[in-house]
Amino acid sequence: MATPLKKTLNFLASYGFGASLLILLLALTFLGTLQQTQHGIYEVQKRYFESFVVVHWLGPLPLPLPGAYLLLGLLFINILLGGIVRAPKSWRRPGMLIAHGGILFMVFAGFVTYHFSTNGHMTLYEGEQSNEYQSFYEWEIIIAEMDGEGREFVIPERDFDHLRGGRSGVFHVEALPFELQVRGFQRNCAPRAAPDGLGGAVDGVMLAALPKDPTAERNIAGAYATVLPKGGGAPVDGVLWGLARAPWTVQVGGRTYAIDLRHRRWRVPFTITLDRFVRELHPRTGIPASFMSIVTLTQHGASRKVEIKMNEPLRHEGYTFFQASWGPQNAGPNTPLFSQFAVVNNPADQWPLYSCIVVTIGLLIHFTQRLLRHLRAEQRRRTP
Amino acid sequence: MMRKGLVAIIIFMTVCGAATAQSTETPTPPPRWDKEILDRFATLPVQDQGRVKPLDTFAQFTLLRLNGQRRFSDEDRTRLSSLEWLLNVLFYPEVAMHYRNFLVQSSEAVVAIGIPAHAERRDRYSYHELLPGRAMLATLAQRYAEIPAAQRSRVEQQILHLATNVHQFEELLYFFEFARRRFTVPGDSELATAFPEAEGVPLSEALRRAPAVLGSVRDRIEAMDDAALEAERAAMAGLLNELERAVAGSDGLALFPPEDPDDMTWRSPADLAASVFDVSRQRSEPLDLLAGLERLHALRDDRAAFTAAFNAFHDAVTARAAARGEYKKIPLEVAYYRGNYMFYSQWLYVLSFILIAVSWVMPGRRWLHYLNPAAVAAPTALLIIGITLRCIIRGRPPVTTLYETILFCTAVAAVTALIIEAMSRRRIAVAVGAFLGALGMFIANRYEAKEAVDTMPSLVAVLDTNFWLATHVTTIIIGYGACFFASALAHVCIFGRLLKVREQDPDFYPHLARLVYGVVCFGLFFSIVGTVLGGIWANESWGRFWGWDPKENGALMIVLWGLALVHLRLGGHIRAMGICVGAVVLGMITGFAWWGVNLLGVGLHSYGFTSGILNILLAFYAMETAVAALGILIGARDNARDAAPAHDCAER
Repeated sequence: MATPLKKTLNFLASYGFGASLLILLLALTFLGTLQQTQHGIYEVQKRYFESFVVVHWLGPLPLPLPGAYLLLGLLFINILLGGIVRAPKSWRRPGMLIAHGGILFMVFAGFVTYHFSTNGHMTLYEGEQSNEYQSFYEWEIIIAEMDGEGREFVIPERDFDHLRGGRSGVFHVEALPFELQVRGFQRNCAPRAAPDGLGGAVDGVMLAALPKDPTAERNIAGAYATVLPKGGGAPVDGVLWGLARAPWTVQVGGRTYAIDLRHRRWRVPFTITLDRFVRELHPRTGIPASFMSIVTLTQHGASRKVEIKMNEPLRHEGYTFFQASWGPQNAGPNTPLFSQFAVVNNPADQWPLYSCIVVTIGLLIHFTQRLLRHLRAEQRRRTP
Repeated sequence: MMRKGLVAIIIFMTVCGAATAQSTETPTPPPRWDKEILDRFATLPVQDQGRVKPLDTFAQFTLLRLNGQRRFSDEDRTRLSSLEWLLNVLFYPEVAMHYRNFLVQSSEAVVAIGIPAHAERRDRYSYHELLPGRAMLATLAQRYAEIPAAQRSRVEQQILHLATNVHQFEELLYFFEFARRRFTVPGDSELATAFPEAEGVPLSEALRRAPAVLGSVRDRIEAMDDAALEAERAAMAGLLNELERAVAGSDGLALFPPEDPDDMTWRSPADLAASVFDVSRQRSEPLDLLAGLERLHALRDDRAAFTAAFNAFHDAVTARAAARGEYKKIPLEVAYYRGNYMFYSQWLYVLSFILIAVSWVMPGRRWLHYLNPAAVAAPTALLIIGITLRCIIRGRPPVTTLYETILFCTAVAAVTALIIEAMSRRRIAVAVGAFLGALGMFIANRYEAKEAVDTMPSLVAVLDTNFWLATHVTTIIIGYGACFFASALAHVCIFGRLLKVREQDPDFYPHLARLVYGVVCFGLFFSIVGTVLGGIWANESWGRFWGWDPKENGALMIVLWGLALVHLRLGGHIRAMGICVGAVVLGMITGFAWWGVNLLGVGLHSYGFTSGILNILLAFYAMETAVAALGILIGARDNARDAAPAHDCAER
């Protein structure tokens, strides 16, 4: 008699469960794809494809669905149990074992990419250099000492993303003589003159909420902040906004601090200098034929020239630089150009390629065996 | 630099002037062009849309865009090829002005610009008829262009389309305006002394003389007094103004290869005039070719002399293009289009389907049975030859545009049919292959006519990689082809069951279901590999393997449904009819991945966006939903009767 554990394992390893997960994922992909026309790729990706549960609205009716993160996790278990652990292991049918192994590796690569990769952009005008790249979407609050040791303290977005509306949170750093209270975080907003007597406004300035732009990188975040001196001095209110011309500066205990809301940044262990950006159009058209950035990569005092083009990124020290964009779009002949590189640091960068090779080999073996068996059966059928 | 807006205004003014001079009577038609000269014109290279192509190709797609057909029939029902039409427009504009070559889909568009509509709602109009509404057309088009494409009404879209076509026609109609004019420089200046002829000089001569004067003035500028400088400035401004007016309509054909091999931009007469006072450029401009073009225009009514002059011009252009390595494939492209491979392929598929149908109703004629595979192989061979020629002409893998996806997908379906027929020999696969072949080629030809743009365009930067085009794109389209073939085969199974065809043969439907399943697996294999390769390409060019972009999602949906089908069957959850219904749904998903996501206008695959096919897609989905529902009913009836074992497609 099957134990509950065995029953559960049988269910998790079953074809029916696997097929159900695939169909749910298919439905989710379809609905998420249609939603992109209204909400943009970034928003839909967060809601449908990086979540455990999603509520899809069919007009006024809510339809709860499992998110892709949950489905892929369950699919991983299903493949592991059904396609590897419980699958018959015979030299007569090695193809499926290999293919399932490859798919497991691919799902795992997706997991590693989601949790451990970073991506953003480095944008440089000709002649400029940088060793940082910044996120297209994620924000961070940075507190920098303007004098003294010049230390920087970072509050990542995940720690203040929930502080919407009336919610507030206080951030404490041992080395700082104050605590920082953050409230009223908004994903897309703009500073406006506040009507007289409006609560929450700072020096007559409020953050007016704007509808989210489907192109997520166009959204500019903002929040209200209050510096609370640990020594018991008077609190100081300020407004943080992603496109502010300068950071908010406050003086506490005789020292000056700059507090800023900006896109999240990461350092790379080398410097990139944009020497020249070359854009070519097909003759007598506005169709881009090629984009290329000629850069100098400097590390440990040594420099070398590199060309970064479409389909030919620069890979160095685990970071990959792709030619992503350029501007200004309506630049005249003597206007300085900037080049934008998409920068990715992904430990699983090449894993999909490896898994693709494994899956292809597995499927080739399996389908060839099946075809040969079918042909033999047909031959037998025709032979009287 | 002459700006496009200025060009349009000047053309408009010229047109108005010309219009007042035109009588309402149609001028006498020009003499027909000799075949020899047409053949030579066909291979004249021209740079258009970023690539060098034969004038024949340019003429075909221009006429197709304006007229909706590649041939033109004038008032007295004389049929002109696209090249003859183009030559008449260029050399006999006073006649071509009366050609009814503007196809207007709805008379609302012409009524909106104040032109009396024809009796037929959808009809063709001449430039002469549209001329009184030209100003209104420009005004409305400018306004409608500011409306986002998705929000434009049908009439607004048609008015924009008509304005674009009229503008392009004007660029041809007034192309030789520069050759009709002579240039003089009046007054007392060094520039005037370089133009002593009272009757003026042609453009090529004006462009040759003017830069030398500019150089001379520049050398003496320190020694010149204010009055002399002003005289030179006024003379140059006057000449420039005259040149601008003369070449305003002469930017439509870039016929002159530049002499500098590193300069990729061919020149039109307007380009040459624009650089008249650019001394460094002017020295290397192909003014001899411009003079050749002027001679052609002057000799248009003397065909013998015209032929001689054109041969000299053709030889000079092709020699220069060949030296730049840009002529080699021109004759092949002319041969490709004249071969009409896609057109013949479509009708041969139709004939082969009829032949197969005849062989069904005449089962005793064994020779008909043997002919069936050959009947499908012939149009497939034509199609493959056509695709191969396109690859050679472009130096690219077989699929780089949406149009080519249809050709390749059709070829894959037909070849799959032939392979399966070789294995099963039941004349089902070839029939499905012939049907899909005819349908695919019909769609390809309709799509080409609807888009009416060069189907071998310049590629955007991200697609400029033969490796990924050859691997990811071809693999994914093989997957599409196989999925559609499986779906079509499933239709045979469902309708066969419904109509009780060959129910006396107990192995017929199980065999068919096995074939469907086999082709689903075949398609699934290529879809998986193609989708993953696409992810790897995206990782190389955009920095991420998977971005949940609609095109990627479409491919993923095919893979997910294919895998779900395989696992449902392995688990015994579906049987023969279940596989067939699943294959029909697979066809619908493939349709969504191939065309549906292109309508969304979202994502990084912007080079594949399309429009105007929503209704066709919706009709397809409605029809296929009905077929799938029918299959489900038949499957349910099977289950109820417990007759499933006889039709089970499980492995034996």
